[in-house]
Parts: sequence; C-alpha cells; structure tokens
Amino acid sequence: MKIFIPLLLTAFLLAGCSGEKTQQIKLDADPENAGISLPEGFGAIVVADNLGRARHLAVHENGDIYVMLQRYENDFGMVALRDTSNDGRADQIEYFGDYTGTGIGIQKDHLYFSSDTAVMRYKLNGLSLVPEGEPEIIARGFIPERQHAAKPFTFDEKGNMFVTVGAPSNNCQERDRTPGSPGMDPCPLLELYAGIWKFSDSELNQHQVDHGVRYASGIRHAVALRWNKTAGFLYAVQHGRDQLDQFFPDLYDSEQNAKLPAEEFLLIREGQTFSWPYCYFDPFKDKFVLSPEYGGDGEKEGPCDSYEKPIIAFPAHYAPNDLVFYHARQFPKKYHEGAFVAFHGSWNRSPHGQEGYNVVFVPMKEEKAAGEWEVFANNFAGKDFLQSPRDADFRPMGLAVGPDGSLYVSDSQKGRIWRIFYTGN
Amino acid sequence: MNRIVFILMFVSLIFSCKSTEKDSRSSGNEAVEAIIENEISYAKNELLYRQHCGTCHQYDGNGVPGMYPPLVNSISVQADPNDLITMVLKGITTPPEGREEVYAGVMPPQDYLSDEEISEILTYIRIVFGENTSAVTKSDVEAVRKKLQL
Repeated sequence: MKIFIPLLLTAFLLAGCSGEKTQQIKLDADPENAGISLPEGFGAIVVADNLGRARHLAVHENGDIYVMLQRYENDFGMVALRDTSNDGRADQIEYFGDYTGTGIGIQKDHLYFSSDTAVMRYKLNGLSLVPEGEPEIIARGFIPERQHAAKPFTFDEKGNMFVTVGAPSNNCQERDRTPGSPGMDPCPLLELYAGIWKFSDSELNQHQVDHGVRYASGIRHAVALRWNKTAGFLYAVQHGRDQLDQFFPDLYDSEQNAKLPAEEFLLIREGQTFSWPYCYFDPFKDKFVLSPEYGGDGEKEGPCDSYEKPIIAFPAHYAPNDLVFYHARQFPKKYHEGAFVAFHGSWNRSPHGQEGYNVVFVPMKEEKAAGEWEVFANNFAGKDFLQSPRDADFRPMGLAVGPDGSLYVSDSQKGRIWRIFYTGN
Repeated sequence: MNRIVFILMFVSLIFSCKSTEKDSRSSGNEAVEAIIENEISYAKNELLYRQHCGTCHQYDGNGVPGMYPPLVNSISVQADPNDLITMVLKGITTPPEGREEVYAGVMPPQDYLSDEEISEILTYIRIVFGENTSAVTKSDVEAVRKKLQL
C-alpha cells in the first residue's frame, strides 16, 4: 500500500503530462474500422501496413511496437514502429535484427524474441527505437525442425520464462501423416517436444536439456501461450491434430474431420500431462476419446478420462496463434481480466469452407472461464465463404495490449497491424 | 477453364494415338465416347488429388501461406516429371534450394500409392495447375520407383 499510493500519484501525473488519456479519446477510428467488424462502441485504426509476414508483436510502455517476422524483409527479421505525431499511426518504421521467428516480448527493459531454435534478447535503452548492440542468448538447444517449430514464450512474475516446444509430427505416427500408420507407444517425441519448458528469464545461454525444466507435457503445439498474473497460472491454446478423415477414411468423413477435434484452451499446472497424442477432445461428446492411431474408432475412450478437460473447447482447426489476458481498464468492465484469442484460421476443413480468421473473447473469473466465448473482432478474411487460406485478405496472428489498454492485432498475410480501442460511440 | 483444357488435351492425346492406327474409322461417336471417358477420368483424378494432396495443397492448388507451397505456377510441377514422381515417392523434408518462401509443412513419402494412382494424380496436377504440361504415365512412375529401389 505504501508503494501503491505514490505509484498511483505518479501515474496520474504522467497521464496528465503526456496527454495519454486525451490522446485515447482523440483517436478517430478508420472508416468502417478498416474493414474489420467489432462490438458496438469499439473502433480500430491501421497502425501500419504491408510490413511482411508478421508473427507475434509486443508494445513497449512508451508505445513503441515490435513485430517478429516469419520471413526476411529487406534482409531483416524484425520491425519496430513508432508514432511521433500522436495520430496512432506509425510514422517511423525501422527493420532490424538478424533472425526471423515467432515469439516477441518485453521484460525487464529487454526485448526478447525467438527464432525456431533459440530465445534471445536485446537491451532497450528507452530512447532509441531500434535496440543497439548484439542480442544475447537466453535459451537454446531446441532441435531444428520444420513442423510446429515456432518457439513462442511468456513470462511469469517470479523470474521464469516459459517456451512452447511443438511436436514435429501430426499425431506421433510411426510414419508421420501416413494413412493407417499406427501411433508410437509410448510416443518418444514427448521427451524433447510437445510440451512447455521453463527457464530463468535472465540467465544467459541456458540449454533446453541441461537447464530447461519440462513444465508440462502432452501439448501438441501451442503458439498461443500466456502467463495470467491475475489467476497466477500459465495458459495455452493448443493446435489440435489434423486430417482424421484423410488418414482414417473408414472411421471419419470430411464433415467429422471439419469438426474434430477441439482446439483446447488449457489451464496449465506445473508437471501436468495433457492428452496428445493418445487422446483428443471431442467437443460434442464433451470428453476425450482415443486417437485412431492408438486404437480409437471415434467412440472408444480407453484411458482418456484421466486427462483434465480444457477450460474452453474451441471449434476444430481454427488455429489459435496468440492469447492475451486483459488486465487493463480501457475496455468496458465485462472485458476486465478476460482472455482474447487470435485465430489464424483453418486450412484443414475442405470441402467445407475454412473457418476461424477472427479474434474471440472469453470472460474469466479467477482461473476458469466465466461464460461462453464470443467473437470479438471478425471479417479479417474479407469473404463470407473461404475455400483456401490464401484467399483470405488478412489472418489474425499476434495480440498485445498497449500501455493505454488498446488491443493490437498483427496479420500474417500482408503484415497489417490494427489498434482496437473503446470509443463508447 | 482448366477443366476444358484438361479434356481437350486428353481428347487430342487419344486422337493423336488412335489416328495412326485407325485413321479411317474416326467418327463422331468416338469423339463423344472420348469426351465421356475423359470426364470420368478427370473426376477420378480430381478425387484422388483431393484425397491425397488437396488437404495441404488445397483443392485450388494454392497451398497454405507459410505451410504448404502452391502447385499453381510451381517450377517443380512444370519441370521434369521424374523429379515430381521422386518427390511423391520419397516425400520432402528439406525444401528445394533457392526458394525465397519458407514452408513449415513436411511432405510425407507417399510410396503406398500405386503407380497408376500417382500417374493419375500427377497428370491432373500438371494439366490443371501446371497448365498444359504433358501427362505422366504409369510406366514413368514404375521406372522411377524401380530406380529408387522402393
């Protein structure tokens, strides 16, 4: 409490000096919110456009935005954005960095980022937009893979960093993605993949095997990973397995494949084991069923009832690619402490239309969901019926909450960044 | 459009073969039969493509950005069919060199498909997505499989 009052006073003073609050009100939304649909009272502007294949993004307390790229743009793997004219739109855009990848985050005055094989960080001096000097390695030793190779990460408040290590496999078949091939039992991939590893957030040069701790296992791949400081737990949204009908045509048809399995929103406790690859969550039966690679037929449960249910079962193949908890206060009360999830959108629903391509909201109370999920931002794809992902105008990829409580969304298709704010109009 | 090109190509292929044998016997009936036959084989090849390739490369052959490469306007699809047959039989874990785009997906070996199925799928891919490149025959696949000792 003693610290809290001076902090609060400083915050008020700062808000008064920088005009942060008036800037928020002054911000005019783009016409028709730049093509995306939002709940009433919300507006959006395009902060920057055509940046390249944007992945996750982070917003510094001074408003600077950092975006990780999947592919080199102008020989650089990251891009930094600054708004010097206070219109909410970036007018200083600087490419930098020698690595491409997915994860990015700001912690303890450092800009952390991940390639597919390491987590590194730059020192931020609070003044220059582009960090100076060479990056230092925090975590390394992740085996180079192509499939599910992204290394998203998040931080708790006790000096820990959590990193997803995805499985280089669909469902741990003896021959990956091959019709009828049985699942390896036990699945050897679980040793170094398909889980969340814990590291120190500041110790240099930690190796996955020698220094990393397997915090949770049995998670196929979770690009959406976030520590929730209100609940005091780690959360992830898993990319569920693909191609049930293609590899097991006698057991599943295309419609069943389009709807199975759920994308699971997981509450993760240290040491917990989740169901991949042995079982998947069927959202219609509201229970886990045995994977066909392990003797399942779409009905059999086997030993699957031992796994903890997801806190929310999202529709199949939506591709959850980021998760944030809304600890800010700019949005109306119903959003406070709730979760936003960015869905990159499906590719494995043909001949049925592709789905997802939106940002959804989940109300939270303590560590559990406090109600059903709902679509928050939509129409990124720009089409009513989407046959193929390439036809989507935009694909939501990363999420970040800015210092004034605005929600930022990155797009992987063209590299657009939106800032979503509450206007009350 | 692609469908018409496909049918026309097949019809012309068949006529070019047949005309050497039985020039005088070409008739309107044969043309109709050939068209029907090729409608059936188009539908069959399309089904095979969708079943074994279309999930990742998508029904329209456009692939998935960052995951699976497009077959439309693909150099590999238009080049030597033997390389394409090898890709199907052995799969691809390292992407071909010199490509700017990065794809995270891995193509599994599909040696469990028969020579005939592979030839039908690749013919479909080359004609529909590769625009007018020649058909792949069953014996082409057989020869590559033998060479690779699969």
